[in-house]
Amino acid sequence: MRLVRCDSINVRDRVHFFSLAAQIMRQILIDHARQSAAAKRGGNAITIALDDAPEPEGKKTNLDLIALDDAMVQLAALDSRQCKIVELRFFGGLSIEETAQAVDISPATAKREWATARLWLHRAINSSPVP
Amino acid sequence: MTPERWQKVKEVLATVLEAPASNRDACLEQLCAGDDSLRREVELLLNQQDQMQSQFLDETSLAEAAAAVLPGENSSVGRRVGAYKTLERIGVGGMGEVYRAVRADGQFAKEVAVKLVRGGFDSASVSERFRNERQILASLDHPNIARLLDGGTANDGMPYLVMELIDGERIDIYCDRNKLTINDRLRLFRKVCSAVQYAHRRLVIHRDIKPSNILVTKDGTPKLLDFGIAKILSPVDDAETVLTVTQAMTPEYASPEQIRGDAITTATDVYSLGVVLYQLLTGRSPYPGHTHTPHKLAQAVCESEPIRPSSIVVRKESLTASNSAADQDFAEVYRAAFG
Repeated sequence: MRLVRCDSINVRDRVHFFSLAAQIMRQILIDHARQSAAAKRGGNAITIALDDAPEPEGKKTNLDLIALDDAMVQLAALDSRQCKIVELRFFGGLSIEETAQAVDISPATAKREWATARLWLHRAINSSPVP
Repeated sequence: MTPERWQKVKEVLATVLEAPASNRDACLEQLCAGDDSLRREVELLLNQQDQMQSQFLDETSLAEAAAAVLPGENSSVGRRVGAYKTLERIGVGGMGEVYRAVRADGQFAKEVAVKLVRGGFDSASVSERFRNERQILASLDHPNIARLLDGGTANDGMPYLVMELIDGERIDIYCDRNKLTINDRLRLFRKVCSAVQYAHRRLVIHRDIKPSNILVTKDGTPKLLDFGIAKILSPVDDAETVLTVTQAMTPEYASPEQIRGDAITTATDVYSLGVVLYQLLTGRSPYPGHTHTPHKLAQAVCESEPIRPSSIVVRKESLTASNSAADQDFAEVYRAAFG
């Protein structure tokens, strides 16, 4: 449904397109993450058979997209361009060079922004108290 | 933190990150120049490096996170479901996905079909209903009914059903591909009817008879799949509302009473059999032109008279039963089919 609206947007060039795609990708994934989180929380207790015990530890490294999105919203309040860079790199899959081009900065600056954003986001995701 | 403060922290952080590791402390000392809170802030972020996995926010972590939240292509292949391990996805439907599977403990090599019930169903009540029904369903022992073998709740709460794996193709496709004559089609269909009659004698209603639930094996045996499954998956027996019934049926084959939310009886199956037979004989739906919008179709099923198959095909006498099964008066329907 989100893609339908893109008809009316003038996709001027590749960079614009990827920027738009990153934004949509973020939105879709976050929507799904919220839905599946809601489904897991929802209502009735789940019966677990003995042979269905939870998977052993060690694989529990999956990125929490909702926590990431929340952290990105916080980052946007501090530095909206830096948040945009994260969106392009992570959700859009753009390289440092492509990201630099998209936001009109030098690749060196893009690299610095990305490196510091990663640290900031990691801290925000892992230090925020679980509600 | 204010945006201005973050610019300052970021600047120091970036410079320190680019400095050679041996030089970092001196660099940090110099840049912070006595500003202790700045230094603490930067150090806190620098420390993240040690805890952070190298793949944090890289492409693979996006792919993994996406796979975890999106319905996904083959997300459940290779998964352990109860005592079974899924091997390959063989079907997708409104209620979930069907996988070819084997016993995970290797006790039996025989392959089975595992149906994973996706989203929207209350897993606790599905498994409770399954426990109530399983004895009855598992006792259905008929050459033209695919056996229900097992079922339960997988470790993420997803209800699943284990059924006899049928290697066959949809009855309508089978008939057309083999260019069966009307007599051959009727002979095949009689076997389907005998399976339904067998189940009805045990007071089990299928509730979702349609071509995709009737597979014909290589040796020409029709097998009816998913007997009684629609009941397990539809919320609350008897007191069902129109809305909830709609979720567990296929409008094109659903009877008027199913669409209206009236009591479900054995005639519901007979009606659906009638629609299937109609299609096998004429190659078209009794309600052509309505099949693409569920609402219009439901209206057509409840309110309009289907075109007599005899006006579509020439072999008139064989078609009488089909047309009356697709009639709306189901008491008459039952008499015509089994009476």
